[in-house]
Amino acid sequence: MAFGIYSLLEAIVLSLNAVCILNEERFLSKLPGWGGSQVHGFGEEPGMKTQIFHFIRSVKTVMKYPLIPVNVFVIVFKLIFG
Amino acid sequence: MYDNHYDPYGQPQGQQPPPQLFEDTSGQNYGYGNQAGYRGNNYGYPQGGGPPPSGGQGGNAQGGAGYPQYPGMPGPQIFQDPMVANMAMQYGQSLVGQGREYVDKKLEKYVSMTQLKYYFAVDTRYVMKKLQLLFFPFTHSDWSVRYNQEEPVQPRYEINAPDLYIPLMAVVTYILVAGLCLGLQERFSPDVLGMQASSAMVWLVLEIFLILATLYVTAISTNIKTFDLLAFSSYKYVGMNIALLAGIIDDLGYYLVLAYSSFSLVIFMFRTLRWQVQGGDGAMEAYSAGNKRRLYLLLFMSGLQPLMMWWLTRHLVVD
Repeated sequence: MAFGIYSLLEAIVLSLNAVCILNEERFLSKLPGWGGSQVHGFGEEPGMKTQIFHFIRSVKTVMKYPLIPVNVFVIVFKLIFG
Repeated sequence: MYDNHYDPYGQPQGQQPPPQLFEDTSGQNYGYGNQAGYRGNNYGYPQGGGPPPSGGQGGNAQGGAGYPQYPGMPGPQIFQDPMVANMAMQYGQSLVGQGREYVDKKLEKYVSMTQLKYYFAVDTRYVMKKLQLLFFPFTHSDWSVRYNQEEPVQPRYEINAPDLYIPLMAVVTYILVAGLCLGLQERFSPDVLGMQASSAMVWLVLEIFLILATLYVTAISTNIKTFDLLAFSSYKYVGMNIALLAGIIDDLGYYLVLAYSSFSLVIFMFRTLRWQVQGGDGAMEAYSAGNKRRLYLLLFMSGLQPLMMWWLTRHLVVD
């Protein structure tokens, strides 16, 4: 399968978009276990669900604003160069 | 206008010589008359290439030196003076050293160069034994890595340590063998090589992302560094090369070699990683849920290898 570096970059941008799109109030709050902001003590095992939720929350916090110009750039690039 | 009585270009007199594109620091203008001012001023001497030379300025009507001589300033021909040349060379060398240190320091934050050097410290005996282990891991009994916990061990001294030399050579060989296979099937063109190279890179990166993500989500604490993962993920390229070379001869040969090398690679990965994933000191951890997760992770990583081996060579061996 012929993948190039551009395909990888596009895939990364698309996946980050997919994570950032998840709406906080309509969807994520309804998930059981979402509000676990405090890790219970210094437990050795945070548990898989809390890890995933931490990951989603941190990706949204970090990438929400930088992704806007990146998406604009990719759209313009694809409009011009196809 | 240049003076006509001395023409270094050998052109007939009266014809204008071609414009000076560079300063002429050849030995024609060498003279000891400029010793007075070279101590402090020579690093800022004026570049005289721009304005057209007027022949009689400052009394230095010398043919070939087409730049203005400012009165009192030494001019560039002082660099023929050996003392000045030595000083300039030493200064230049110290600048290069400082520049290199600066670049190294900046690069260290992203790709740790000092760590990287350990992975390439191999010798012939290690490479032979490692290749032997990759294809016949059944008789090796001690898979532990004895090393000081802080600094990584050189593979020269420890047979079980991962290295990056074999993977690098294997990846380059894979690209060449892929080109060979494609050429034998009349499907070759030079950009195909580049595409094979970049797709191999991309699959490697994806695999390492996947394993890192799995490590993060399952919250397993291991001693595995990213470069170790890179090394372990690339050991399969050795098996792939042999399988591809066998595939040139016969399709059945390809499947047989692929099956055997993936089997031995799975055993190799499982045994190597079992030692590394479980805390790294060989002692079993106390809590049991972590052990089950580690086992699953091990099986996942080892099982991923034959799949990738098959996937990456499939399109090169067509019936």
